[in-house]
Amino acid sequence: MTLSRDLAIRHAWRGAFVAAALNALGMSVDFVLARDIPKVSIYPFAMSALVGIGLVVFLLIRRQQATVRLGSVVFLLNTVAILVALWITSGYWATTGRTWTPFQANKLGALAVAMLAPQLGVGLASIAGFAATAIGKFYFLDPEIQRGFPVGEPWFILIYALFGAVLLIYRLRGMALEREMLRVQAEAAAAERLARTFLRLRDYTNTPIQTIAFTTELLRAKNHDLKPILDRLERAVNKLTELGHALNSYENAHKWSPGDESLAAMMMAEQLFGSEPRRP
Amino acid sequence: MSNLSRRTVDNPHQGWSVAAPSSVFAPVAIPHDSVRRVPASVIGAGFVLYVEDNDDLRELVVELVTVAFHRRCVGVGSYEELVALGEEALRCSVAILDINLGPNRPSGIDAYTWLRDKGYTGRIVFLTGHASNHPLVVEAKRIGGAEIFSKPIDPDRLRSIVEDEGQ
Repeated sequence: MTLSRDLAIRHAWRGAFVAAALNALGMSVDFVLARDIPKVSIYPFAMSALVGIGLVVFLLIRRQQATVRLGSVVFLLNTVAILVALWITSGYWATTGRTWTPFQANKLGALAVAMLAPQLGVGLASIAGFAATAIGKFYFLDPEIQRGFPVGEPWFILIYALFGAVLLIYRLRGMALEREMLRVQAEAAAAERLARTFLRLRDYTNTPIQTIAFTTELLRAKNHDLKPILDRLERAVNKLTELGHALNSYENAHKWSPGDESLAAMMMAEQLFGSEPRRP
Repeated sequence: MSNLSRRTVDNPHQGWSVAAPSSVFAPVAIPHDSVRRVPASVIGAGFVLYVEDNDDLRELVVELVTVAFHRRCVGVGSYEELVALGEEALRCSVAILDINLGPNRPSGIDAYTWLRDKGYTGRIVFLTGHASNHPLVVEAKRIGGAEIFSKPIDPDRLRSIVEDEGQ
């Protein structure tokens, strides 16, 4: 059974892994598209792509020791590498003098974060990073270049950031609900196992208690001198019977499945004695 | 209980664990050593039939019913032994059946069905050590025509069952 914590770790690991892989792939494609731009340098593309590849390898190595925190840290490192690269490469694109749709990678990044971020804080910080670097970069560009930007830029990135944040919250809440359901299911399964164990224990002891009760009665019929002793024994039997009645409440918690009834005695014996079945 | 021998299926008419007072017509103050094996042909009206696979409990009930409740009782350990007992079993006035007669073995419900199919009209009582929602217990409730008691029952309850025989 997948526990809710396992699910959170899986989501975190997978999100970080996909983000790093997309970084490596996206930056490589971006460089191929930008290679004809004058004075373009491979270094920002290569740095970001190599960081992505390195993080992919790191995540694969640490797969068995994955944690949510590990996924978040890797995700943030990957985002920082992308932001640094985009800060530099957006300058190349802006200075081409040709028609350019500004900050597409930042906009795409803000939406991708919504789909992949392991945790809310990491996701919001990453989305803010994509928005802030786009807006900041705009003001670092030459005013002449700024005037060539489409109307409304660079502020459109804020709309993407807003949508990204909403989608991120929506997705994380859905995941939290899924984990809660898993937790409840796990608790229900544990309660069911406990109920089954209690009932088998009770069932197993019913016949021995019955034997003691009848033996007491038989001895009472045969020897009246034993009455004080047998009274004590009878009280002890009554206590055990009360315990059995107290476990009745678990009957509703346990639903018998087909085949359970034939296995019950054997499983009970194995659980209790590690031996062949004994009859309740 | 030392003089209560185990039954053998191979020779049922010699081996049934049947306990009876020294005088079945005067069931009073029966000493322990009066519990003995008797031929199955003795079994008749007024007898209590007890089907239980737990040897200790079965032999104990046979002795208890005889010594403390002054009724005659025959105990059998399985469905197969019940069938082997045949017509003799049908003459008993009350049948007490353990529901679970062992894993992968015919159950007390099978014993009930056999008795009714053979025209048994006496009172039938199920005893069970299982939960009320155990499939066998549910099945026993479903078929009706028999009371169901959960172990452990009070000895007085057993007394009332055997004393109300034939009702």
